[in-house]
Amino acid sequence: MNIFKKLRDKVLSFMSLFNKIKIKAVHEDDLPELLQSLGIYEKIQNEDIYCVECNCKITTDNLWGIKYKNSTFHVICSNPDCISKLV
Amino acid sequence: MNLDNLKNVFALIGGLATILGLFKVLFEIIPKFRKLLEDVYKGISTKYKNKNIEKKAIACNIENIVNDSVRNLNRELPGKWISRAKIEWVNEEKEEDLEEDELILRIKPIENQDVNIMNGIYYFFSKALFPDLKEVIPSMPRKAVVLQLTRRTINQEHPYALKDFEKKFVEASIRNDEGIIYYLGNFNDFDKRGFLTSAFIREITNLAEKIRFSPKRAHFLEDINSIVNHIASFIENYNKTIPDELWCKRDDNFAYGFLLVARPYIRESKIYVKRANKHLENGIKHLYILGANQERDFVREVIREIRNNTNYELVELLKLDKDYRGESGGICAVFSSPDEKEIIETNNLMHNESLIN
Repeated sequence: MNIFKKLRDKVLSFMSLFNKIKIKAVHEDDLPELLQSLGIYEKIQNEDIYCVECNCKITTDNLWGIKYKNSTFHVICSNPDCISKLV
Repeated sequence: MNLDNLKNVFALIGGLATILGLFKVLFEIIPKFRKLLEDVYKGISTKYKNKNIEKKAIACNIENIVNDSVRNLNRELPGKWISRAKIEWVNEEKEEDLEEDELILRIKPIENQDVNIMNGIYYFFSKALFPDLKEVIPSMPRKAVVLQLTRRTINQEHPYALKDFEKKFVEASIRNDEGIIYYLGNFNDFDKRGFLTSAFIREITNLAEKIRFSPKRAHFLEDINSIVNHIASFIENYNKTIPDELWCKRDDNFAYGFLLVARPYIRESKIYVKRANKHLENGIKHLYILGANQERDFVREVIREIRNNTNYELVELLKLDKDYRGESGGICAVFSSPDEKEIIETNNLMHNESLIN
């Protein structure tokens, strides 16, 4: 292998240390603020949002995550059965 | 303020920015520094109950666990398959800032960190594994790989959360689809002997690339099951005499073979070269040389001999979590026949060279 290829591989290998997969997360204390910005806080307060998998009512206690799909917010409850369907 | 003073101020700012930048890079890439940072955040957040510091402590802890496993897995998975994780806190989000299929994960206060870790690792692997092939690879085997690698990571980095993970996530997956047990059981066995992250993942990844736009895609699950059954039979027969037909697997869409390198009392690498040539004559496209860690010098010698004396081309050299005997550490060389070389990724060549020379 020539020296330039070695050098290029070394640089690429080093640069790959800075590639990252982002995980968006919301802290429990910031949840109301986030839900308000997404326009679904009041619906959750009024128990008018349902889990996309099991159809149970979503509250601020059982909310596990929010997925953006087909221009809609899909809310997922903390039931492991629903979480495991994510993959 | 005269010009000299102004120059000194700018020089000071420049110097400080360089030092801070250097520290940032060190904290980014050196695990010990990241662990130190995590401990500092944890200590401060426990003492002063500051939400922002608590968030940093939570994120740092999850990132460190995930990134330690990413570092190890990248030595096994196809070249630079997964990148490191970064928790991005959001408290306000606009619809246009979100990408299709993007998820915002709810994180609990630091007292529930075990739950946060489980959720974080599971979500990370579900997002990171099989990049660009999620639509092609059938969901059950893909999900079983995610569960197995999450289990391994939690077991190694945060063992006290393992039972909880199995009770919640693994059981839930079985409840959702009982058929997944077949994959979970086999993948656990494969992983204990280094076959999951070496041969299995590479074969189904290569196959997925090949059949992506072909009618054969309709039978992909059958092909995957055929590979699973073959590797399972191979492992089952490992302690007995492995029948000749199990040393390789050929089908219309794939052809791979194994060579196990150990037994130091037959320190004759030519035997392995002869076997490799026989595999090549029989049309085996990918040859996996799996070596025991204890005999790594001899394994390297065999790999060098096969590279120099056969038409197979060395495309990857991996450091496995377990060797084929189930012991810690293992070496696997992936060789490819000349007509297949372009299909297999050729990353890590630099790493390969340094490992065998």
